Amino acid sequence: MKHLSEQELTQAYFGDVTAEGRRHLESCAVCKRELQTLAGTLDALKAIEPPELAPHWEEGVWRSIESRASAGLQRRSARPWWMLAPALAMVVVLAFAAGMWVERRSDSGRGAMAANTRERVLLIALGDHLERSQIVLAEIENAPESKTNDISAEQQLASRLVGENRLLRLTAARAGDGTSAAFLAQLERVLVEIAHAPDSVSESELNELKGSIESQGLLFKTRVIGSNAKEKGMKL
Amino acid sequence: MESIDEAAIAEARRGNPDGFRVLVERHSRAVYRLTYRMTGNEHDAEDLVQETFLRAAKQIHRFDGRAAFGTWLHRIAANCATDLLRARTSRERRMVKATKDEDGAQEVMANVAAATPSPERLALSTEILRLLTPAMAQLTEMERAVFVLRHYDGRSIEEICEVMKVKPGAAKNSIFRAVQKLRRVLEPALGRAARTAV
Repeated sequence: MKHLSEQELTQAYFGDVTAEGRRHLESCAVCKRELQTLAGTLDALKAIEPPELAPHWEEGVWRSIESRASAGLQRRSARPWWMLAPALAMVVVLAFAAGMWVERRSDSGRGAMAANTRERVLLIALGDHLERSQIVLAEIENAPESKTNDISAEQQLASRLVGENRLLRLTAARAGDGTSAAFLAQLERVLVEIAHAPDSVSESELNELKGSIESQGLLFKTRVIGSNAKEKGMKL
Repeated sequence: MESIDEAAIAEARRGNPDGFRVLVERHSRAVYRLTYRMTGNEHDAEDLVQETFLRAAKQIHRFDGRAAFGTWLHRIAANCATDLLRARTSRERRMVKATKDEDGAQEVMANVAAATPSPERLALSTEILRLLTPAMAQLTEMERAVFVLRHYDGRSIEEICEVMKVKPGAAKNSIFRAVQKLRRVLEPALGRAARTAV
């Protein structure tokens, strides 16, 4: 008599058994015993009952993840906007550069007001740029690692951000803001690294990119400098 | 009930945290039951609930609605647990290798067992809980996910195929391999426990 295989017994446990298999199980003591042993193990696994949870336990779960989950949702819903935003930011930066050129030719009475406007435009443009850069860095840093990792969306955005970053860095340097220029140079190196990476990277390549971001604390700096710039720009 | 999920998912996709909060409130207990059964540890289970929902928030645009949201979420939970267990197992292996003595290995196992709650309430399963983490860690990502969805969640093969994007034969094979691996680790222990009880 041909006994049921281990695979057939497993399927029988989950209720997936042929009529022939069922008939065999009814008449064969060996297979019946095998199935009982298997059922004993799997039932024991299922019998593990989790401890009772407090009545409003799920509210605590929400409180502990609220800010991070909201950021995750915003990032996704913001995507269509930030795909278009680099072009808009470029216009703002160009307008700022043009403003500087015009302002040099204006009289000194209007100088103070123009300088104020210029600083505001620059700060807001910088804030916007860093907000989008932060998205790229965060996506890379939080990407789950697997053998192959598709980073094409981040790579495309990084490519667009590199040019904008360069322009902002040069403007900051010309304006004598060495700190911002140095930070933007640091950010540019990582954006270039991401932009030049292939669409799909291996686990070790992904870890290298993560390392570049983490070793310089770049994500944190981008977040802080970006939000400071925006806030300061809005006040002006 | 499903339509509440649908409305909440639509809101969450628009970036509205209140929509996502509804999903957390509706599904977190079920996710906790699952993660606890996979890890045998309260704290790990709670951490995994958080991790599951954070991953879900990031990936919610990928949810195509063909499978139930709960099934999709449980797949994420199973993957989160896989990552945790795999990291822990490799860390424990390194520790055992470093100490190179039996006491070290026993201590690792004792730590796993020490974190389990109310063993008296769990009767025979104390022994299983002790072995659960290393046993589960032996499964591949696919094996664990389909086994959990089938065994703990009672999902049909069709539902599993939908959410895992695999063919029925592949799903059944993964379940079989998972059962084989678990039996190899758990049955000797269960036999010992049964003999002790007699």
